[in-house]
Amino acid sequence: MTERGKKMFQPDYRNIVKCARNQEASRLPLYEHIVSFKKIGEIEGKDLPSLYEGDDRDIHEFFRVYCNFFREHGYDTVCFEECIGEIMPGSGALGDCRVTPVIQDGDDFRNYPWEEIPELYFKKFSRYFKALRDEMPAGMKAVGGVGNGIFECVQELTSYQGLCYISADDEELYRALFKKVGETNLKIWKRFMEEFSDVFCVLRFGDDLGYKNNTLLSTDDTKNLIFPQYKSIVDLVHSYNKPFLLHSCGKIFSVMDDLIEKVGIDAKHSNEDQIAPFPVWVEKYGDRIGNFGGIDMNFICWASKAEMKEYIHDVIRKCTGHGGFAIGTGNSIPDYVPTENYLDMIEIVREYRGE
Amino acid sequence: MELIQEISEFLQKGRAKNVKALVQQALDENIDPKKILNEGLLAGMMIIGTKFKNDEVFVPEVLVAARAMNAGLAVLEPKLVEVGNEPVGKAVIGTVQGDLHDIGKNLVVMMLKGAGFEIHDLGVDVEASAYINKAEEVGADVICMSALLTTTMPKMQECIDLLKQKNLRDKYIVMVGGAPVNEAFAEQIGADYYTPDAATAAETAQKAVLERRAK
Repeated sequence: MTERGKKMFQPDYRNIVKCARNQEASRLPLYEHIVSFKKIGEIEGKDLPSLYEGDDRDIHEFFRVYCNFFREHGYDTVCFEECIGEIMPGSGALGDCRVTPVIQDGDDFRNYPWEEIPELYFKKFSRYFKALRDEMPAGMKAVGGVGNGIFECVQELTSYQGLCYISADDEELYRALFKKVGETNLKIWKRFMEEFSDVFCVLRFGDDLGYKNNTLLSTDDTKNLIFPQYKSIVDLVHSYNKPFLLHSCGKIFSVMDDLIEKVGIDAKHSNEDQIAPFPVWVEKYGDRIGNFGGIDMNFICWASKAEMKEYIHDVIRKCTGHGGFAIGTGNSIPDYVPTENYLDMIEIVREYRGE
Repeated sequence: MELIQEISEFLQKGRAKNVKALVQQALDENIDPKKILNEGLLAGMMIIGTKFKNDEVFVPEVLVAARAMNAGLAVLEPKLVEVGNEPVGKAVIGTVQGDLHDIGKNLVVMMLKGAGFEIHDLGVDVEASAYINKAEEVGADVICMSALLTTTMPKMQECIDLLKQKNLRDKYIVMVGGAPVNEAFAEQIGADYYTPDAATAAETAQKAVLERRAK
């Protein structure tokens, strides 16, 4: 167990809310989209993945350790989501090309058990959200909610390549997929907001719309088929007077104006230097939305502490004075990010904050 | 419109059934299979590749066009074998060990096919030695490695190191690509080429093979 980075800290989730509402916080908040359970467990000396899979007592212990990790390492909020894709019957085609897609044609679509999905979601995940509420430290709230956006959920069922073929072979099915997934996800979000919105200060889903060079679907399809489904969820979140943060990887500049003006997102996370350094995102959109992220995940994997310090200070200097922003990696902390490098990153930000 | 031109046009629109039927029609009319391949299928794929590189079309259009090309090739290939058509080169390709992503790799496969390469696709999660074994087995010119994850990128280095150990490094053109890969990384691990997109990968491979043969 390491004691690195554990310093006295009084969290205040309102800092993140300010950033999401595009106001600069008095204390620059740390933010991660995801920190792997294994990584936190390694730092805290606990087997978090096993606790997560355990009984209610284990799950409470999981969240006690999980939340305390964020508090002790200078975060104002806890990032947490449970993904829809995980419970969709026959899913898995998004991240593993060996999975045979469960929906390949109109018959598959019509026979798919759409109505079961909301119940399956809460049957599996309600106890986690309840335990998160019980263990949330004073001054903190969560950022996250119902993981997986519309595009990712569709691909869980069709695979990306399968979806591309459907777009050419059966336009009606292609359109129906986004609509049906959108309606299903909205049902989940409605119940989620009724039961658990008090635990969350910023609501979010991740939906990777792009890759290194462009959007994964055409700009028109992204705007016309995906965004109307986003808007229903964002409007719902706004009706609870909470901001919505979109996590989306890839080069999505061609659809950002629509995301901001038509969908109404309040903030956006995810950046890679190969696409555009974080200050470019802030310069382009900092007058309209909050920007979260900043530090290229690949860079964190190999940079020395001195290099990291120079990089982070440069990002902060360029982004200060351009609206709300929260700092952390541009993606997440998966298992393979070296622990020392992650802790170095936190330490550099906390030293910058004068802690 | 000339039949060959029609094949190219339908391929660009991703109309697999039409491409298949037109290729059969062209063969029935005794048009040279090499002409059908080069001026119909490959020409159409080249146009799509260029448009993709210039952001004029998106990935779905490329995938659907490639599917149409494959439909045409299925009809044409037996005839190409009969007339002894030689590929531009042979390429062994796969996503590196530990990585299960295949979209980028598949795009490169399609573009390489479109550039006239014979492809040996090893799929995903490919061990370093598997690339080399297959390259040796088929007499490949090019080894192409793809990775989507930062954590799997070092596997590319493993393959290059293994080639060196076996004194085979100079025998193959080694190309790398994928979301986290860049020019600096390719140089650092000793790859011959990094290309940022599938169309450029095919162009680069074609040029590299032709240059090597000219030496």
